[in-house]
Amino acid sequence: MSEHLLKVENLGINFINGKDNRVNAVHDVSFELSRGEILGIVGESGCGKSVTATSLLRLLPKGSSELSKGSSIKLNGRELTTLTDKEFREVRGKEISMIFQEPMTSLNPVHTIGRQMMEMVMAHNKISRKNAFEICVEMLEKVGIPESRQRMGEYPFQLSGGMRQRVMIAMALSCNPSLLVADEPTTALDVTIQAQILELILEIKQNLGTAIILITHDMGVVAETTDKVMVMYAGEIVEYDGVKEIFHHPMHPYTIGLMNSIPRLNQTTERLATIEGTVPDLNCMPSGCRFANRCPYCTDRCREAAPPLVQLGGNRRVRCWRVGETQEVSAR
Amino acid sequence: MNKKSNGSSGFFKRFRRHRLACIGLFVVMLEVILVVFLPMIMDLDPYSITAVFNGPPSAEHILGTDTVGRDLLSRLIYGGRISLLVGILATAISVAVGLPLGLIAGYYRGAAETVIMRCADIFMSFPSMIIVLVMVAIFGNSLPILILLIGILGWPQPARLVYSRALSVRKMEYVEAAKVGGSNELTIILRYVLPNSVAPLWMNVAFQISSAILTESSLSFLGAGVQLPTSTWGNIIYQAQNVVVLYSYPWIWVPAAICLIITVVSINFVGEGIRDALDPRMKR
Repeated sequence: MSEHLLKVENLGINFINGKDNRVNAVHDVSFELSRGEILGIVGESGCGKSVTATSLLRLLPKGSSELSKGSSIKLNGRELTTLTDKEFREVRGKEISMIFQEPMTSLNPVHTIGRQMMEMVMAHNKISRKNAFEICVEMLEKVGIPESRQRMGEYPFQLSGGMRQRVMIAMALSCNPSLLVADEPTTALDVTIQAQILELILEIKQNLGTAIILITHDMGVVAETTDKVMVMYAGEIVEYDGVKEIFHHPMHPYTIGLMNSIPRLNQTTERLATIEGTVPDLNCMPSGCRFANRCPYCTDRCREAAPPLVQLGGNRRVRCWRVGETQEVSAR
Repeated sequence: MNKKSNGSSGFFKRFRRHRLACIGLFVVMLEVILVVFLPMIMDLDPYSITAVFNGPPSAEHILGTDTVGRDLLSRLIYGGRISLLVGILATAISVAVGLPLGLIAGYYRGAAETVIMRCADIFMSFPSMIIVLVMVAIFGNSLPILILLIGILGWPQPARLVYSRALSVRKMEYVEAAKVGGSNELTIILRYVLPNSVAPLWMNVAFQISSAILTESSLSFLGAGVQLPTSTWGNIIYQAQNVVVLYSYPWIWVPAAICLIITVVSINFVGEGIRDALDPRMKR
């Protein structure tokens, strides 16, 4: 499987809560990503999408979290979970980079844009200040910042939110990483800026061949940008496939619920469709299917035993006992 | 294009805009120059006793003489040397000890936090005067030891200030982003956590300098500080404990008190100026 850039297998993450209290936040997550592909991870708050993504960069707090046994993260065939912290620092920024949700606070307020960018470029490449400066200017231009030379000497507070997010993206890409993790990069921006940033992300994918993991809870963003979608619920993958397939033909009851809850322009409904209930508490996960208590198709079997992630035709993977039946229901 | 000069020139530009801070800096520098160089050009003798006791200001003694007839101007200048030295050096020691400890406690948390901050609590709750008295009894009474003691006993204040800021800064996304960029811990602490945590410290420094000067005076009073006849601003002011001096001979203590106040206020403004100048958002 060396053709895949990133291969995550059986990823599980536990939070350590006191001495013998381990809470399972992410369970049995496997996916792979090739160069130039965008994977969207969707799900509601607390479903483990951010935790999954930050674990790729080993950003989870040490001592209060751990990967469960058998977790494997391979980048270009190289196992990342066994690297020492020092080795891993080389991976960060250079091979995997990340952009955050909140551009307002993602830049160090006391240093100029240029200083921050150059610091990062120079940390990973042995080049002169002058070269680093040129690389940064070029990078800023690439992400569509006008007068980039002048911007290098400005402080974060002098830029707007959209500009800052562009700077963040430029910074994340300045060492030409093969994988970019974008944790809700557009959530804090208004809609027009959001569209520009998404366009930028698509351009990056096309021009640089960077693989991107896009975490979001906005189904519109997913539809517009991603190639593959991974729907997560309560720390597990519930459905995984190409974006078209998922949107045209959702199979898992949760995905179906998500699709139904997108308001449509051509329908005049009084109330928006919702998925009843709330996500189960991480401390007391049901023994059966984690979605059982909210699922309209739930049976006794669902409450008793946890369904496995089943590989169907194509690339589709679904975690549901009644997958065949829901298909019929949704097809109607 | 060189960013470093760019950044520091921005600092001076912003500092210059803070008029009070510039005046404060000027006053402090003037004081330092006066106490250092005045004795070289003027004939100042703080020790010899003249015939005039409690003499009011006159042509011979510009600021008058004290209770035992020593020239007060000389005592003020020589006293300033010691007081400024104690204030500035002791505070520098407090910050040098407290700042890194506070940063470490706030950034790493965990065991480091517990050990460092509980030590700070112990230091703060223990009567420092008694420790100093004991230490002076053990190590003897000398100016370097005094400065060291006052400085070390003052470390919890800067440590706690920086600690409390570092606690919130470590969670900021730019720290996370720096980690993502592959920066090592030292870079993150020095470039990200430190500059974003020191702002409240600059104000504290001013207070700490003044309190160090006063601590030295109280210690002198208890016989553990700088001993008479060596003069300090503190022991000049302490003469005002005598009600007669307080009411009838104000020229003995008023100049020293004014010097102390001016110093504290000036340093305070300088502290404010530095704090604002370090914050690039300040544009006035």
